[in-house]
Amino acid sequence: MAVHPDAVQVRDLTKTFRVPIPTGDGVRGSLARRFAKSVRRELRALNGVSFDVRKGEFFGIAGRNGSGKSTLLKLIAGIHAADGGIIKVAGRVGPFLELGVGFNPELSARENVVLNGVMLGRTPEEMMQRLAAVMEFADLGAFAEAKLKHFSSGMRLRLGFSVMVQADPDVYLFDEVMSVGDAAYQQKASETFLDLKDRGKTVILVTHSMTAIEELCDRAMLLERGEIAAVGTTDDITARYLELNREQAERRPDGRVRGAEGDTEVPVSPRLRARVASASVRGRGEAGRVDPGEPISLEGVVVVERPIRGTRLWLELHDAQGTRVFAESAQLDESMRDLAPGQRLRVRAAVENRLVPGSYTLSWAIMHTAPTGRPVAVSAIDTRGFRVAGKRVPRGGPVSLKYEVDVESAADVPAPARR
Amino acid sequence: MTTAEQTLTDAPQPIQGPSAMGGGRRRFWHLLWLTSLSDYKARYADSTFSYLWTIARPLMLFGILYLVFTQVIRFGGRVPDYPVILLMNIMLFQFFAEATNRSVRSMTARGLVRKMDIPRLVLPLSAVMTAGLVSLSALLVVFVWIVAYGVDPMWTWLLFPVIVAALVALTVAIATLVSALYVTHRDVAQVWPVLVRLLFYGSTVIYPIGYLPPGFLHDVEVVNPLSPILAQARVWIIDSNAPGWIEAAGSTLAALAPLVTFLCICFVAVVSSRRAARVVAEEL
Repeated sequence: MAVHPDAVQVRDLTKTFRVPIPTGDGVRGSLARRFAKSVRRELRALNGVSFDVRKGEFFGIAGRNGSGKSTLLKLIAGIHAADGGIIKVAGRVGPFLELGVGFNPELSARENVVLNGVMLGRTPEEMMQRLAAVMEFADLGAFAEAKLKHFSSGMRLRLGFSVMVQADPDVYLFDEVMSVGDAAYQQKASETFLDLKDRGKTVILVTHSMTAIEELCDRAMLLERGEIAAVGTTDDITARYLELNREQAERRPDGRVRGAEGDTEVPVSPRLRARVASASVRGRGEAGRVDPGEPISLEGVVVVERPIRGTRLWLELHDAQGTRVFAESAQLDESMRDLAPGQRLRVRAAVENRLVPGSYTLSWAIMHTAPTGRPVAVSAIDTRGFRVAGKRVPRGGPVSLKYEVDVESAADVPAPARR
Repeated sequence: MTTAEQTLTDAPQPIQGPSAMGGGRRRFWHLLWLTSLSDYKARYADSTFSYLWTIARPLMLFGILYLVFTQVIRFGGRVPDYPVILLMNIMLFQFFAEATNRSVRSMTARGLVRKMDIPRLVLPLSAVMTAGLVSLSALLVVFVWIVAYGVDPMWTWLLFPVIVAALVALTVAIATLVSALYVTHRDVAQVWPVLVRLLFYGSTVIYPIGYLPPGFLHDVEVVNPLSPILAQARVWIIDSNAPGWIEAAGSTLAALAPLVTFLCICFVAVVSSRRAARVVAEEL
């Protein structure tokens, strides 16, 4: 029988929120809110969004805070009403916007499982049949009759996640489920994702984590200010996302850079003394792309605007999750120690490359030595995104290290006693 | 998309979006029943006397009012069978008061509607059903009390389901209305309990029909849909000689006033709940 290829179709989706402008608390403020039309500001959360998700596809939605990605998910889940456009879904949707929605702490795990399952479109009988499976999957086998209020937050998360999986909807919607919970939960979640992938489930995943997109998704979409900035391969989307973050960071006046997921921890002087005029990161070829093993080259031009004493160069490398892979503040040659206003510098740096394929950022800045002896950045921190080309190894770390393995049959080794 | 594709059974279908009743009738009833039952359980789970409170609370209220209206304001003594009438009325009114008071904030409770496409009407109806479950045991006490008091069984006892049906219909309509209004007008939470108090005195809960002198409270009683329900309950269950609603109202036309009120409430409830269902997730 012919199968329709699409699980979700979205056409020209538009959503506007009317957000109250703060008019102060109290009677005057609320009367103003109620009777004056102008105190509500229109906020366009989504504007003409169209895309398809195929059956059995893992589809990632990336975007910065406020880009409209969570709103989009809520529209597909039927929680918000769209102002314009059409959403079509094949089968039942399992929205997983928060773990354990509607859990009642006063009730037992069993009662909560049934209630939650019914919310996800199952019947109470079906959920009773699946109860054992739910509890086992959540590693809570012995606690079916325990009240939920006695559960730790990690246990609740696992239970909510387990109900979701056992309710087995046709289309899963996940919002940032990887950034919560304890280690045991996260482990469970990633295993489940791989399992859903094997079983050919359709999953839409909203996330900040470029690693999740690279490792799990077949395709991805980047939202920016309520519009689709790009739809395509996960490589394209992660690169565009990091690029977008960099553009945003450059606009920030204080020079503190928000990387993919974390601030750099370099102290930046409130009084900047130098300005980065241009910069690029590359391997041997085009900017923004490095082949595995090829040194990562930074080239930049800096203009000195105020005197700098004890000049140093700050270099910092992050992977797509915001984990710092490498950081160094390099002392410069004697002739470059003290700089005068108006001086122009050409900066070149080459960093050994043991990175595995994936997206990274290289941040750098000019530093001076503060009177306390501590190096402090005196230029805005400049961050450039780049990709190490190649296929990403799932579950790999950020670096590839040389290693040797030696396993052989050893009949002469006595078997250790069984514990 | 071509027509051939559209005919495939597994083709994507347009979604409905948030609504009062959406998501299928079966899911609606399951959700209603489960949320009501779990709220009922959760409410009494922790107190020492747990479910006994469902009976004890209205009995204690009855005790207070009985003392006040037989010993302080001594009109209770002039009404035949006053203790049974008072207890029955209090039980019926408590159901109405508890259901509507709890439904006010139900749509926004626990932020549920922001996370799940739960049919919105489930939430106020669940407050009504929970109150109904609480009232079941209380009702049992009332009947025991009526029999023990010495009221003779009458064939009109069989009409009790009519009284319950009317009371439930009125309660559902008002619960829907106040929960929908609360979404856009939070002041409802302050006003409604006061109005419930007004209905308590502006109906026939503590004094029999015809007792109120002309004036504001009397006017409230005349249009109050609770009045005919309580008046008929007295006639059918306790005292067949008591005046029925039509007799008390004076004419058939005047007797219809509460019905008009009820229909108006229903109309506004439907309109406002439809609107609220779509916007509630954004108005939290």
